[in-house]
Amino acid sequence: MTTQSTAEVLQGPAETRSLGWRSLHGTRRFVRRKPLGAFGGLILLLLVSAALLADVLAPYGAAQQDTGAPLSAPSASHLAGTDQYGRDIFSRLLYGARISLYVGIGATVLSIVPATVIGVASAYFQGRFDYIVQRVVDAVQAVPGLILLIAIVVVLGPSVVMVVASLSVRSAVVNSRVMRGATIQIMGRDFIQAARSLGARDLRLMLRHVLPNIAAPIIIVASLGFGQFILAEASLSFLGYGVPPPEPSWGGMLASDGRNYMYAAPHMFVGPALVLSLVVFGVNMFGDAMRDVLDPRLRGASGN
Amino acid sequence: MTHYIVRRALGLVPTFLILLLLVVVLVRLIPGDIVDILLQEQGGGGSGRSAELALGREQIEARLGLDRPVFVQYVEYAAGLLQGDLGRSLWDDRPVREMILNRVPVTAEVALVAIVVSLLTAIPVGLISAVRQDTPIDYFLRSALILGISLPNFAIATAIVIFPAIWWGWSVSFTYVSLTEDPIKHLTLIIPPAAVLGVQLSASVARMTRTMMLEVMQEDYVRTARSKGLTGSQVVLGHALKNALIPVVTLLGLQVTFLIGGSVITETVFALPGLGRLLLEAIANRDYPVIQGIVVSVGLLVMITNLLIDISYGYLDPRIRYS
Amino acid sequence: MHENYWTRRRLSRRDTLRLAGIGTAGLTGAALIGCGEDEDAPATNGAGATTAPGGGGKGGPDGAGPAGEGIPVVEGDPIPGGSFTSPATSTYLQHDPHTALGPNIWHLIGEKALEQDQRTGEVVPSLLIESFEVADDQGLELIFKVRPGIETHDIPPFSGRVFDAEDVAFNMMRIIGATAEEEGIPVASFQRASMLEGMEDAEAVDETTVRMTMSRPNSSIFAGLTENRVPMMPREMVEVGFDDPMAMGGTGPFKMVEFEPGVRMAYGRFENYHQEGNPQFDRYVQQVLPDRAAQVSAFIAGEIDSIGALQAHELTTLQAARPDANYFTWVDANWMHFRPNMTYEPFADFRVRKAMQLAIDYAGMANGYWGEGWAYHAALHPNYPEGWQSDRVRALPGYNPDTKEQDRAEAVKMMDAAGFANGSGIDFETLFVEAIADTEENAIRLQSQMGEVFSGMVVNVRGYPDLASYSKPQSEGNFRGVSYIITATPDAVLEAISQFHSQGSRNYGSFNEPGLDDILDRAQAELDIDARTELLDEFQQRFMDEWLPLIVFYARPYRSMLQGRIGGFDQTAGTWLGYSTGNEIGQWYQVVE
Repeated sequence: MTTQSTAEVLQGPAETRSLGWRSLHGTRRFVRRKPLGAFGGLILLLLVSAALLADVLAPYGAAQQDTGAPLSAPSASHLAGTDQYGRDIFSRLLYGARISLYVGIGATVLSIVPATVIGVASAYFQGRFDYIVQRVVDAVQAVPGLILLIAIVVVLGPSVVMVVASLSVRSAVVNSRVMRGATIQIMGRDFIQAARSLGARDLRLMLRHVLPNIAAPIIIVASLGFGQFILAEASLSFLGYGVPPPEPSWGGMLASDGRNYMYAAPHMFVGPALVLSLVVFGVNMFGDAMRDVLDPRLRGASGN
Repeated sequence: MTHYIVRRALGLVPTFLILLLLVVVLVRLIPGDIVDILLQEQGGGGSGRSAELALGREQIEARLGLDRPVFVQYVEYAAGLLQGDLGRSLWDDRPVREMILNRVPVTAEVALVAIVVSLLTAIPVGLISAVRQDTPIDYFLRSALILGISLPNFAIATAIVIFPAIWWGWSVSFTYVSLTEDPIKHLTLIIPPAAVLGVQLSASVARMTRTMMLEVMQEDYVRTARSKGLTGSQVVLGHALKNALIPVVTLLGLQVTFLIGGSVITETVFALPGLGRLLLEAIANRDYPVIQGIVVSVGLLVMITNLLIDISYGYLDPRIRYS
Repeated sequence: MHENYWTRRRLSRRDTLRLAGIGTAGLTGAALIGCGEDEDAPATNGAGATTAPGGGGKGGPDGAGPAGEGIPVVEGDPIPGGSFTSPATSTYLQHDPHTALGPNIWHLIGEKALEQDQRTGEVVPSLLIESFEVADDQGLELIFKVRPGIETHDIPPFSGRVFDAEDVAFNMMRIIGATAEEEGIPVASFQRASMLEGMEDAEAVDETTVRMTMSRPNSSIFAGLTENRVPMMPREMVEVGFDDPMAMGGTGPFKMVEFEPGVRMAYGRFENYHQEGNPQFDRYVQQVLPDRAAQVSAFIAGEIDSIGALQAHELTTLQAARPDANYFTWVDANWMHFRPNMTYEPFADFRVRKAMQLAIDYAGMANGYWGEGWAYHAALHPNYPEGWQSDRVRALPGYNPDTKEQDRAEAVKMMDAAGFANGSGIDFETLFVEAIADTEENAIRLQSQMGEVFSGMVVNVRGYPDLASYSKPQSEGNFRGVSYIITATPDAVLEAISQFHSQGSRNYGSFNEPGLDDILDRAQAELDIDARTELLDEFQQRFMDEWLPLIVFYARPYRSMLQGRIGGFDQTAGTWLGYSTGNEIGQWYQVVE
């Protein structure tokens, strides 16, 4: 699991700015200045393509068993070999990209949205509400992530959806603190005071003025969370509480069969290990670059 | 300052009560309880006929005290905690406090060695990476570290366990000896899991170091020092690093949760009798008092650590002002 | 005395039970010779046969059926002393021999009243009981003779006193839960009360004689006393209590010397053990190694002396890495199955179940996972003397790999006739336990096979992370199908009642067939061996033709390896190791320092 809590990397919110780097010019600049980040972005793009095109690209079904050829090494007919049931690992990796993407995006969305709502509301309303919410956050934060994950997963029952839900619960609570911090700084700004004095309602103020101004931390938290979720799913699989078989999740392929056959049929381990680490690497690199770009205090640190 | 500390410390009380409630309720929501396990086996071997099973459930629940409302169990548990009583294992009736205390040293040692490993690798890496931002060296170092955390730690740990045996007929030892029995042998058992966790930890420490260094180097006093004609390395080592390390060190304190979570995995693979494995077994066995005891103790440890970090941060960094 | 069930049973078992045990050799294969230490070894089978590397004769090309008859014994004179280390996934949590769910320290520090011969399955006197008999024609009075002069461990309060008939009677009463109220333990906690079903009372007549009285005859009762969860202990143990393993002692070959939770359990040689010359080892250690990779590594590195439950690929690796180690395999007491739930309407139709039974490729399933060495299994485990043997089952429709095509065509027709053309209209999920790999392997292979034969059938699989979470839906009957593994009880009637009887404790699929209940009830009361065997034969036939309460995939091969330096373990090559207690280790020894 990635150890980085986003709370630590984010020292504060970005200032009001357009997300202009998204433009073509911005992209080109990003690629030139952050080649590693761009490489990470490319991997993410590949992941998304693999997931979307799995049906087209996969030579076999994820559950299709070639009983005549179990545990075969990579070959022309089975690019990444087969597992003990004779299932094509390459195809399973492609379908597994869907699960990884699903877990990554699902948990990210499910954690970022509540995190933002809780964080912004807590900072905006302050007072007793804020105090109670923060004590809950403290309590959740005090439980080691993996431990809480196992507990929630076991409670919710085994399925992809429940694993996603479990992954997002802790993350939502913990990340809400980042959002709160960002909101508090924004709240002090003149334009908020101005909008308030003009009689803007709470909800409108939060949506129109606060939210756009904490876009940077949201994006950073999201990009860092993605890789963590994929890894966390793998760790859960190792402990027996991940996405249940026969779903071809990378974590599951790596943790159960891949690990079991690690030395006797190394291809069963190498395939999932490669794609998993490549994606996590890509996401982290991309996230780092985004943070460099979005965090204004680091902008120009390289000399301009 | 004193006022702040007192207020922060008092804040721990509601947090702790919430944690307690969370744990007691969550643990009991876990589907399948110890009675299911007990009765499953009973049905199992036995030949027998099923008539008494329902009655059996009631009796066993009553004996284990699981038949009372969750709220009552919560209150009793909290009351017991005040006297330092964490209850007893549902399986072998051992006091949970003793079980936990027996397991703490191993987990703590692994965590400490992991921290040392991570500091030794991460600080130089973070430093160089910051000074040479966006150069090939920066890219290489960061890539290497991130690759280190891109594989789940169970995969790395398993490879360390299995391949030397297959290739060379040699394996890390699994025969546990305590520190007092044989300190050297003991250390050789601690190092492999600590290295696995340490390398993972170093990725975030190095990242933090780099980020902080970049930030500090933009500060006025560093610019001033530079303008006074101090050389690059003087500035970096003398001024910037010192200030950048404050948040880095506090970050380590925040990693307690990570290290304990990771111990679940490394202690399983390396067969170390620590807290993580105790927890995993307790979950599989649905040993509620043990699960609760571990989560509550770790939670308390984390809360106190956080408090100490906050306080020390104030002393270390004069820029922080408490309101 | 009237020739009854038990006197005949011995012969019967010896004749019918065949071995699947086979060993590859040590260094060159020539190391395996000679007969065992056990003088009781039946001369009929090849206890002394030399076996070639890779195993002796075996069944058909599909690998099913019993392999050779040889039971390898490592050559070499015993070298007294030394230690033996085996891996364990955790230290034991329960220490009361009669309420513990699974293996416990009593397997080493205690002994059972009766044993099953590890080769033949025959119920034989144990080291504690030197003889047993039925004293009347109705089977209502049973007499057990306790071996005189057996010493208990020198731990207070029993402190080496002689273990006598009163102890045995006390244990029998306690096994059925008669002391539950007095001890304040729920009677349901006495896991194996059903092993002694029908027992009313047990009392010591004199120092070495125990009389057991029955309320009704039970033809399974002696086999019940061989179950591995009914060890005997000195009667003072209830006052000592069952919390501290270090305070416990029995009559077994080993005494507890170290119990470190999560680390190891170690046992020391009991000097006054009543069996001359044993145990050979000074020390026996169960080392906790929760992870399989660690167990494999530790075996290769020589840190542990045995490793069990080997999968095919592990075996290949270990044989290459430790050519000096010895390999043993036999069909063990575990059988894998698919249990349909009768509350799901399509499964209530016999034709649907039968069509599935005909369609499954059993050899494909078992070979895919195990390779060779497994056994075909119909209604009863082939290792029961009364159970249909692997060869016989292999010839039945559905099981027979040679007629697979025809059988599948027949299956499709039958499914049609039941109103589920191509299986459409049938939609089920097979539950399994992720923590038990065997259940997952079979569920996934079944899913694929059903898809091949019945294009319209919707089959899904669902893994539960651990036993506790799986047990809940299973015991509540909240499933349509499960893939699971069960360890057979030591007796065919006991087993069949628990699984298929409408009142059976493991009848999770709510199977209810008065005809089946009746036949099993009669078998339980039937003391005449021939009549009983006939009843069970009829049961097995009708099981296939009319009932089919569940579909058994196969009986599993158990594979283990021991380091080349360990000898004397011919006992491992038996069919019912599950019912031996661990104290066989008391008869093993090292042959090389």
